[in-house]
Amino acid sequence: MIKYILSPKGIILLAFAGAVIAVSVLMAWSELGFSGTLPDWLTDLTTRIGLHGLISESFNNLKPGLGGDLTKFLEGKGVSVNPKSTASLGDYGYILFMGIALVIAGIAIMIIGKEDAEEKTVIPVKK
Amino acid sequence: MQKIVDNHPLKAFNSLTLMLENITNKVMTSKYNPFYYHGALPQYYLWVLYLSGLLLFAYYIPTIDNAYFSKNLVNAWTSVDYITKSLPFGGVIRGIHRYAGDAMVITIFLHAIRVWFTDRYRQYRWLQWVSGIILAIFVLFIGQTGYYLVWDERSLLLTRMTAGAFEAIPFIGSGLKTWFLNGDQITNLTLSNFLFIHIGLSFFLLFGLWVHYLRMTRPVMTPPPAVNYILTAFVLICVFLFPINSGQMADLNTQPNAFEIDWFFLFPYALLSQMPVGAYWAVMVLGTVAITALPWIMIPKQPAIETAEVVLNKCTGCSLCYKDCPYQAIEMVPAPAGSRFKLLATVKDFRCSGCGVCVGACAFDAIDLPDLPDAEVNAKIKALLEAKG
Amino acid sequence: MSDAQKTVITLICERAVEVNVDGGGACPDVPGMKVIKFPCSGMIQPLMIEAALKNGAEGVVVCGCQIGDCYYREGNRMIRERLLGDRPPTMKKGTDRRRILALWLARPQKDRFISESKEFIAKLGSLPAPEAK
Repeated sequence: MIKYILSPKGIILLAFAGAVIAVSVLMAWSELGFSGTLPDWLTDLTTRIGLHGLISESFNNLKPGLGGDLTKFLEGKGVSVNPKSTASLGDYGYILFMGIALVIAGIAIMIIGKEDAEEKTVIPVKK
Repeated sequence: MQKIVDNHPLKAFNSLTLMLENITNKVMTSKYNPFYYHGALPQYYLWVLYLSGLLLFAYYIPTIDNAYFSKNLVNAWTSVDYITKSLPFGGVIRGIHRYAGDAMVITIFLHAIRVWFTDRYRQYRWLQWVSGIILAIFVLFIGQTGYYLVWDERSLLLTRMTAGAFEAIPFIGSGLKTWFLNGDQITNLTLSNFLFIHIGLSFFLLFGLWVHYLRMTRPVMTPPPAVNYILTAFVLICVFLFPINSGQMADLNTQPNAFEIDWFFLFPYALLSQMPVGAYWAVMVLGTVAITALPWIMIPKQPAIETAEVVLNKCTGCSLCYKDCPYQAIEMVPAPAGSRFKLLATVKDFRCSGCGVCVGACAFDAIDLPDLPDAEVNAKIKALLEAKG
Repeated sequence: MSDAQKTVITLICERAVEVNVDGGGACPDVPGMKVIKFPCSGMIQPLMIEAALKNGAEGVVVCGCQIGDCYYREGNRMIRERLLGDRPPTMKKGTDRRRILALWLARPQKDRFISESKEFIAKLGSLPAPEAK
């Protein structure tokens, strides 16, 4: 198992897994409306385990850059939401990051699943 | 033995397809090559459409003007507007429903083009070709009713164009128009009819698919998960890049005359706006008939298929050929009286493709292709080996 | 001159990779190879492979289209499963499986076919001679 993880294929897969997780975190961030505000339970939890500063910091760092860009792009496309409702522009960001995560995951599965000698079958010798 | 392997009319396109697939194979290997699941791709999008459509159906109100809410107008357009702007993920689900539909049309087109280019639509496959054409027409019509349902100005114009086109058909025209509008003119009942057509016909697709899969042993219906992920992602990213907005709410007193066109579903309307109604119907009907007749007219003198033949005194009734036949062309019947075995394989000539898979499945040399019996193959192997040695 | 006497039989689908064959069934690109074409690789019986080996073939190459792409839907999958012993009828126990190679190549992949079969023939030379039957 460890040998597999340290092989080139395993390292590529770890990189893909990391990418999928990173993009999936962006899904949560989008769902919260591209802002740094975390729900209470998450703030509570992250404070307890000492990660609160890290997470809200990174969310806030994303907010003026990526969040602003995404908002501007969507508004430029004529998307608007009812401010009285719970819908948000972040829904669209959520779906974008979900799409990207699925692409990365799909490629990763293809790398794991592809057989080495696809165009050639050597029949194993029976004992 | 005159087979059309290398001299069929679309040879160049066949080579092109194989070349393209060869490149795809280099990138994603044949296990994940989407071209090898071309028939399963639209089927996957159909499930996506059913699911997203179910969520939209929960909030959609098929009326032009709901009398009970006359003070605060609730109709199809406002319900769609509510879905898009106020429901969490409503706009996104609407986008998925729209783009999965477009993707389904694209994949259906790819599927049809591939079977045509690779010469897999004729003779024993005519049922698949004809049912596929009918399915594609229904998919287009269902998609168009989806555009009527949102009830913006485009919907109004499309509805009027369709009603006008139906009315122009001789004899049955006025009846068709009445059926389409659910009355003589556009009323509240029109939209409930559209909703019925949209949902009712989409379940008819399942029946059509059953016919489409008839005679196919083990039809490929599901692409591998990794391909599904990419297919889904394609739709999701489109939802973000091209978010859906409704046009102005339809007003029966106005006459809108231009709209943004979705070329995947609404191309017939582009045609309709460019020519008189009579010519439009002529083009549509003749085009459909021509495409449907392709299996018979594409190659004028198709050589007859050399169907497999069972060697009656050798068949043991083991059913291996019956299980492996890719076209369900072999039926196991009770063996004649006096036989040592219970069953006997029989070939249904009209389904047989002459591929010889049954020969490969038979361990008793009991089924043969008349133009290449296995005894001849074995003799040939011997002759080739003796020629030099 | 033992090399000249050895023959490798190729059982190939006529829609798979395009192999040049002269009138006598030999393939000029690969010395020592004789080719028999089938309408589909699914028609190839394990019995035929055994017959070829029994009659003195040095090896057998089975060739069909790319897995996933069969004109008749599943022929190449079927023969692959039969060769691997996953689908009846399978090969007899005593068949020398080292002398069998299966290739799944599409029409434009001629170069791959030639290089793979040459490699296979070279490998066959290093195997111990088949027992006389």
